[in-house]
Amino acid sequence: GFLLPSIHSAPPFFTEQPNPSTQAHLTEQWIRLILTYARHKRLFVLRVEDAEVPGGDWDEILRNERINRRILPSYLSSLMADMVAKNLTVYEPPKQTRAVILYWRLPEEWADVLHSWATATGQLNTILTFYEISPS
Amino acid sequence: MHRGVGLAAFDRQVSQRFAELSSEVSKTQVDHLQSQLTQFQTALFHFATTHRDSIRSDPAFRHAFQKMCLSIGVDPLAGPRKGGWLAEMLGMGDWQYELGVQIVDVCVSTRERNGGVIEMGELVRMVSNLRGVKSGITEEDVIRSIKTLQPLGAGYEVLDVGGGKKMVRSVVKELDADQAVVLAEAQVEGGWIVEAILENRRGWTRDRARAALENMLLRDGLCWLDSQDERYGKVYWVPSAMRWDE
Repeated sequence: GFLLPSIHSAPPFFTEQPNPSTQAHLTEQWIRLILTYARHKRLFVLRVEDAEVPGGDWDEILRNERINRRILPSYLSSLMADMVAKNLTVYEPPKQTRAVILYWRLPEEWADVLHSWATATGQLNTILTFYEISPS
Repeated sequence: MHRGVGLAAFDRQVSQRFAELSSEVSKTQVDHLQSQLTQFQTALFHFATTHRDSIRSDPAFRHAFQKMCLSIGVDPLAGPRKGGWLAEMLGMGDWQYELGVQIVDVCVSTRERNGGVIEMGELVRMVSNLRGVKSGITEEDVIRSIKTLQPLGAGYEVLDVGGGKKMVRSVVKELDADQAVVLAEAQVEGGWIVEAILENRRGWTRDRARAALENMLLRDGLCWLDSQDERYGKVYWVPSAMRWDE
């Protein structure tokens, strides 16, 4: 299972802070949490909708039932904008701001992963369909 | 008139002789005292160096040694060199400095979270973690070390907020009396505080409570806001009064 950081049990963690330096600190904590969770569960997409509607892949992070808190959609939206500004995600599809693709690995790192996989399976210089690459 | 003869001369001679005698007596006493002090100093230093390792590693022994020094009027922190003669004698200089650096380290790294005020227990815990399992650092060691940090001018100070709790401030801005009260009340609840508590338990007006809390939140970054509380709506959390498990 995923080990949640202790800050996740603090009710104020789920409120956007008015003090800018406090908010900067908490934003960092949220971003780290989101990317670590994405990596752990191999999630690539984060949507504002995930904070609006329960039952999605992100509930474990965006909500804490035990303390009856959840991150509000507006806060999640700001966090996403922050991550985009830091080049940790991109809005995908472009020209909207409700969904992002998370770079918990940078594209360059993904390129490396693909290359290593291709080499290991002796398939360099062959043509593969997208379906052959993705796990079944 | 002849000088130096007769009763007047006799008086003068006597007073002169007495004066000489009294200064001789004082000199003897002073010499005696001096040699006693030197003996004592040597004995104390000898004791300190003999037990240097125990003083360094055993907090209970260190505490007893401190008490002994203070009860005989010797301040181990005094002396022209930094850290006092205790540091010089025992080579504790390094040890003191290392502890000081670690304290600063913890305070600086938690400053964004708690606005520059950290609870003593948390500070001791985090410094102990930095030092490893058998560190044996006590609150007393930390308090002593903070005293030597004062010349830094960065505002390092131990504050007593009542209820047996102490906080360490590491920013220049001083806590005003109202903030100290808010911290104390937050301690009672395990970190959270609302205007109502200050009004009911301390008899504050709503305006005073609001001003204190909002200043701590917006101006000083000493607390966090929780706007999802069902009962109160707006709750303030003081990170230095919360228990952190990292």
